[in-house]
Amino acid sequence: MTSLDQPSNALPIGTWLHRWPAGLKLLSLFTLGTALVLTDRLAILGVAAIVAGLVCLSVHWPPFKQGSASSTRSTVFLWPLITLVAIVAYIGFFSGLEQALVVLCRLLALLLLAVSVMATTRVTAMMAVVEKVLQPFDRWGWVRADKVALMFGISLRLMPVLLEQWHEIREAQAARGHRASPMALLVPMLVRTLQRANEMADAIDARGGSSGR
Amino acid sequence: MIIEFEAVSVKRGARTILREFNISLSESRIGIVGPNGAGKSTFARLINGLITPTAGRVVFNGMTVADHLNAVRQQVGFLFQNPDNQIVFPVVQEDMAFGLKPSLPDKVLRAARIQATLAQLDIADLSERAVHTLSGGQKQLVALACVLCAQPDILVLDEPTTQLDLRFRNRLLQIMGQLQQPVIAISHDLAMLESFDRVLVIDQAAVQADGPAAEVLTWYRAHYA
Repeated sequence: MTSLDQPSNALPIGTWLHRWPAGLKLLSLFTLGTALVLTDRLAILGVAAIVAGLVCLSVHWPPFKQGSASSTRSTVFLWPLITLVAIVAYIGFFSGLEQALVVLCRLLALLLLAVSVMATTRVTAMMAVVEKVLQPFDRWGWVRADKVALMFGISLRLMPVLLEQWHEIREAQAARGHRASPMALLVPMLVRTLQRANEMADAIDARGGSSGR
Repeated sequence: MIIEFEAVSVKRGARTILREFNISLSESRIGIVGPNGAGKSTFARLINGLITPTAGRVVFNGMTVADHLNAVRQQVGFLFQNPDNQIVFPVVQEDMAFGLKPSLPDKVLRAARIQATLAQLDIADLSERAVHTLSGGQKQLVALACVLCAQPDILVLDEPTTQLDLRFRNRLLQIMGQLQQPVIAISHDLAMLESFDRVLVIDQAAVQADGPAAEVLTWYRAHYA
């Protein structure tokens, strides 16, 4: 094997959603997202959640396959899922079961659709769409389309990195016998993230990423 | 390649990190050693303008770095200690394309350059890999590939072997040995620097020793071990 005997771990390709253009996928996600936010009908939202689940399974089948890049990306969404359950429980307690189900179906559908789009679209393709969409605003001088697109790409790259950093800090605190208090986790997390951001900015500068206007 | 430091000083608040450096670098392989916090990384960052001197100037191939930042950065490839902070895109070839885009707008040529560089480092099969699935050593090789695909005139490596196991360290040294470009490497890995043309010891904001690797490293081991 090449690359010092590490197994190849290519991103999955070839599902029907991979073949959709990035712009169409993002437009569909935006349109469906807006529609899901505008309706409160449980039946519609329930169907939307089931369809979103099927879409997600069709591009992630078998789900959470060990060792694939997509499975690692999927685990990134474990915490949002836990957060979702917490939100739904909170709403259920204060506003009743029906309202909780409405929120659950809406968020679940949005989350699953977003996961499906992210897992089947290259970041550079999404960045190109973001840049194109923002181009008119760029011409008016309101935003720097290329910078916003770059920020978008970097934020996707940083998700697993920050998650790993969070685990490292939690393990370090546990090894020293500390309980997982929010301050003991958040302060080093913030400091390390700022240091990382600083060095990343240097790296982008060093590669000519800040050249231009 | 000639890099000249002309009375360069760097201060951070009351602390002097480098004091009136006057030095000229033109050798093919230059090593920088010194204790932690001695200013080695600052020294390296001055070369491509990531840090601006408080006084004096750095001249790269006749260009004052502060006045020609973009031109200098196109010629100076910089490899950071932590590849996680250097690789800014989720997939290997996307990250390599990012650095190339300004100088090579043609997609086909860009893709060819990326594949050629990955093949040169024997990591062509990593092209489509998600960066977070790579080992530390693989990430460092990818970071080096990102730097090399821009075809810089010189490479500055900031502690390139610190996070590598023995196998990846040897692999990196092998690649470095094959590079045509001049290399300036900051390192605590003294064995790596033994074959270099020149080694500088930086400490207490000044150059403490400067000369052929064999002599300087012997002196460094005697004084800093």
